Amino acid sequence: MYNFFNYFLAVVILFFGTMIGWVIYQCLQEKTLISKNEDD
Amino acid sequence: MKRFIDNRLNQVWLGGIILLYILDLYIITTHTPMIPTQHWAQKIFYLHVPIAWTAFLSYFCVMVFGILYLVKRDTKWDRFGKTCAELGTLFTALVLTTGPIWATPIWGKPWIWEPRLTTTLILFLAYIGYFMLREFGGHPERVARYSAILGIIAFVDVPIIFLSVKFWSPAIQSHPQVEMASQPTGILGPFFFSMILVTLTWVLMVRYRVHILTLKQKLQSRHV
Repeated sequence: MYNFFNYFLAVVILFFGTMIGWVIYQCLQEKTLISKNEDD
Repeated sequence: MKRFIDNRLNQVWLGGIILLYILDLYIITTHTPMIPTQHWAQKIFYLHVPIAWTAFLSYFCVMVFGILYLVKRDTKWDRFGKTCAELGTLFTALVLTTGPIWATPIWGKPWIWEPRLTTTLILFLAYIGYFMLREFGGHPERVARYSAILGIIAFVDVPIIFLSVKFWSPAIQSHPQVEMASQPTGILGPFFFSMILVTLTWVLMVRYRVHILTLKQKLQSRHV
């Protein structure tokens, strides 16, 4: 009988992928803002 | 100008969260009971429900910060409100995708137009409107004021989501929180652990995003 493991795995990947993607995006924004603040 | 991660508290917080997530996944996969009718699909709730709770908490904070901004007119509250709206919308988007992933094998289809799902979608769309107002609303002070008001009004949908199953179609879906509360410790303990962990993640995300919006504001104020 199918145990639906793929669905659970999809949710885990979706959640952690979103968190990691969000952090990376914020880091890139932060880097740009700090360098602009220092240029001024 | 310091980066967010240069702060020792933030380093410890982030490191702690990463380790606790590894522990959380280990507990969910090896120490929680397997429900016969749903198998692994049932374990989606250990993430899906905490994400939903965090989304609603975020929107509650948008309402609170909106009230604080309208009363005190300090832009700090507007930054907090905007941050919580962004994160609330992100988490609601996750709810609206993880829910159908669970529903596909269990209900046989990813979406049905039942009260809880429909009112959650309405909440998501209301906040899309919030961001459109932020983007195209014009003068910053007016945008902050209207966004605060919209955030307060949009929160009305959150209790409607909780009560919708009682008012309309109780036969279709019960509150997952009620089901969880009547479960044995094997399910309840890991569930609350996940809940606390996702909430701690959200708090860290709020602090990081507010830090970035503050940097942005400092840059903008130099060019005024």
